[in-house]
Amino acid sequence: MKDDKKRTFIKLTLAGAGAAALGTVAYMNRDKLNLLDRQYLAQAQTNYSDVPDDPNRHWGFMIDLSKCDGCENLEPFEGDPTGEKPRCTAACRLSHHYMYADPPQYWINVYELKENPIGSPFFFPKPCQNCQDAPCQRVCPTGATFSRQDGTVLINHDICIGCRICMAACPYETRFFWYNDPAEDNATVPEDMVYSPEFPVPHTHGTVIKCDLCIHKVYKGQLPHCVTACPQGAIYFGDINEDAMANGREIVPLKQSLDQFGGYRYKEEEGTETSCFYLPPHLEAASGDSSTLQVRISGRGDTKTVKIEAFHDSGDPIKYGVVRIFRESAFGKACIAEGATDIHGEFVTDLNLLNTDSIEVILQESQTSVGKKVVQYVK
Amino acid sequence: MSNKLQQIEDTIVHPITSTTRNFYFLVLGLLIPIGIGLYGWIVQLRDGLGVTGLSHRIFWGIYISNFIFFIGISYSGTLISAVLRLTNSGWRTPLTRMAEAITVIGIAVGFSMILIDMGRPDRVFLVPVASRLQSPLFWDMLSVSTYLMGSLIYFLLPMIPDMAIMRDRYANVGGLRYRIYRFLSMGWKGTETQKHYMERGISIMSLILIPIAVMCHTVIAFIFAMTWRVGWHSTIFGPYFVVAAIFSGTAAIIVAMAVIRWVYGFQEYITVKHFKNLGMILFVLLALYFYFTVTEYFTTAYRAAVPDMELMTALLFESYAVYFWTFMIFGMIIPGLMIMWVGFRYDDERAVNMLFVASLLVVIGMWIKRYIIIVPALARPFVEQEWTLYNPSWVEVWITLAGFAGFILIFALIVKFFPILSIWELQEEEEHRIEAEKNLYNKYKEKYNTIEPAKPLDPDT
Ligand code: SF4
Ligand code: SF4
Ligand code: SF4
Repeated sequence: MKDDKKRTFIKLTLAGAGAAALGTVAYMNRDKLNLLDRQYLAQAQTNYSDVPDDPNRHWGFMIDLSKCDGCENLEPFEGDPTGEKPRCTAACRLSHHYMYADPPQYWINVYELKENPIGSPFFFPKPCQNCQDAPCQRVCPTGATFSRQDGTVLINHDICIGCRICMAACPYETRFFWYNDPAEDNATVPEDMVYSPEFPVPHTHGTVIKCDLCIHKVYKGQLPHCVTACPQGAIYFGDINEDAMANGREIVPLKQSLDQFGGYRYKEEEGTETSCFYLPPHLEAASGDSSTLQVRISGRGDTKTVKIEAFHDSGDPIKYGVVRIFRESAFGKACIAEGATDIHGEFVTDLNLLNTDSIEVILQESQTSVGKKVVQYVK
Repeated sequence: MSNKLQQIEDTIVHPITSTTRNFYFLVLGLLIPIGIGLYGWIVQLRDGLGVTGLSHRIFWGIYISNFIFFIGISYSGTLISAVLRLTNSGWRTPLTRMAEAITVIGIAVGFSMILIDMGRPDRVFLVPVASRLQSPLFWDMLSVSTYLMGSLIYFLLPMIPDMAIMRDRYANVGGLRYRIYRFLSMGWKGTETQKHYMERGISIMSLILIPIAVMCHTVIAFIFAMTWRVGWHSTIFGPYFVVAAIFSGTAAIIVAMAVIRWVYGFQEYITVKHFKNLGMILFVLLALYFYFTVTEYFTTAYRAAVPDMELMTALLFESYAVYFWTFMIFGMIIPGLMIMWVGFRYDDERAVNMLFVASLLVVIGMWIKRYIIIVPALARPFVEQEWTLYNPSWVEVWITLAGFAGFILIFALIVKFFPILSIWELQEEEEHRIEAEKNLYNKYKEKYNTIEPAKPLDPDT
């Protein structure tokens, strides 16, 4: 009985003392906000003198969704225990030494999305969106998640307590947690590697991790691993302030690409000010006038049936192409019908035509004209 | 001291001075799940949180449900003791001590659940060190620790006179137990000044504790409401959580009261009237919580935004429907009907039995409710198309059981070492009663000098 009593007493005293200490420490530190993370940062940055921090830079992605094919027609990446195909994910895993993470982590993940019931599904690669008003950073209780001066959001694993509230806050599901001990992965890390948030290996058990935007590479003028690994060149990376995005094959202007293809940022409505721009899936404007467009007009009297059949050179029907029919008359040219081809590349409509009229049919796929034909109706 | 007063003291002190064999069995029985839970925690510390059923998408599970649940349970003390003390409700006297004990234990167990959930509990001191005011978690820790301290003071302060009684009883036994009582009685002699200051202290603490408690649970709600998640980001989450907490806390105190009453035969002090009064409060809270639940789900369902509807469908009709309807039917509707039945029908022991069952159902239902607040909101795909699955592992299950066992164990130990009913308050009440009767007797005596009233009610002879 005596021991039990002692225990209760000790428990109560300890709980009280602990709570008092917590409260006091919190109060005493109220004017030294973020003291700790600054120290660590300074330390981390001296370790990595080749990762400068330039406030004039703003790193970000541009991802062309029409190019990404999810690496569907490739074999699974060799050596990746998950047996997944996307090369960006695999390259990131390999270079950041987290191949064996369990459950597997996806610093860049490729989803197959379908936005509406009619459109076709498309692949959607998603790295950290590098929010400029980052929810993850806002909620972090220790300042482990921080923004560099160049706007890059990183995690300092030396002070992360693994509370995972940042995972709750991130609207993009780009944060992962070291559930298992990363020993197996850390064994693949070179001996002399010194940890820094800019290149967060070796990994720390019980902490949260995410895409680091390969900031350790980009300041050396190199592209992130996922960018160079993409066989389709779908991922572009660059300095948003410079308006230039590169995928390792070409350098394209960001603004113009956005304007041309209707680029957007994912979940713009969240107000997170991300640095990752997506070009929506659009069909490539390659075939031009070479596709075949057949126009047949039949019927008697004023009402004629116009049937249009459209094929690519390959023989595939041109699905959902926009058809516009213009009538040439003495008064000029006017659009008299508009519609879209069906999945067989066909479009049929009834029109009022005079025998002397000639009609012009224009077929568009996306924004590009792929076919044009003028037909004179002869009885 | 009158016999009656002495009798109060003796009955209440009895559980402390004599220990039955059943008590040891209880402690032993509770130590088993605690032992397994501790082992589970060691395994988890060694191998990482990978031993749980958590994943990258469902990263908070039953640890967090437990955390909210236990902090919620702790509301019993705040409500019963502080609110009823402030409103000067006479009938609360025998309940306060128990409620205050539950509060302290609830917060302590709840707090340990956050530590267990953390990936790096060894670094928890960084939260106060960094003191990032913009983080809900910082406020969470601040408010929970303040709440713990406050309720600990509030538990110990009204116990000072009782500790003095215990000190005097153990004066000739001596030993550690005597020293503890002497320390906790803080030199209490029962003088008027001491009484005055203690009562001042108690009123100030009950005034402070109510807002702290409300803030504490609001901040916990904000951890969820301030994220970008469907099902969590709701404006009513603060009050919703506070009402949930008071609701489950009241149910918990009814359960504890009934058990203590049966085990130690306190029928004389904890009467059916106490249960019926608490039952009434519980019913009001149940209605309030029902109202909040309907408001929350109905507005969401009517507007029917796609992400909201995905969650609602899973909750009401699909994968989580079992949990939801269990909570709705067995945690709300049936207990509600039972309390109503008691209110209209029963005035004897059956009222106690029925309220006990109803409250137990409410407590279980509220745990389930916490679970379906946390898990489905995380399981719903945020970017992906597939729902994530979550099955708690043995480690999580046993740590949860250990949490419950620990809660009961600490409560049992408190009953063993501290008078679970407030002796001095009950005695004071008794004194007032005797005083009043004496006055009445004298009044009658003056008025009808010659007639002797039927029987003097004064037992002080
Ligand atoms: S898990 Fe780490 S990075 Fe995330 S909020 Fe907690 S301390 Fe910050
Ligand atoms: S995408 Fe998520 S992890 Fe990345 S910066 Fe934004 S909120 Fe943080
Ligand atoms: S930028 Fe670097 S860290 Fe981020 S997904 Fe690509 S390879 Fe991984």
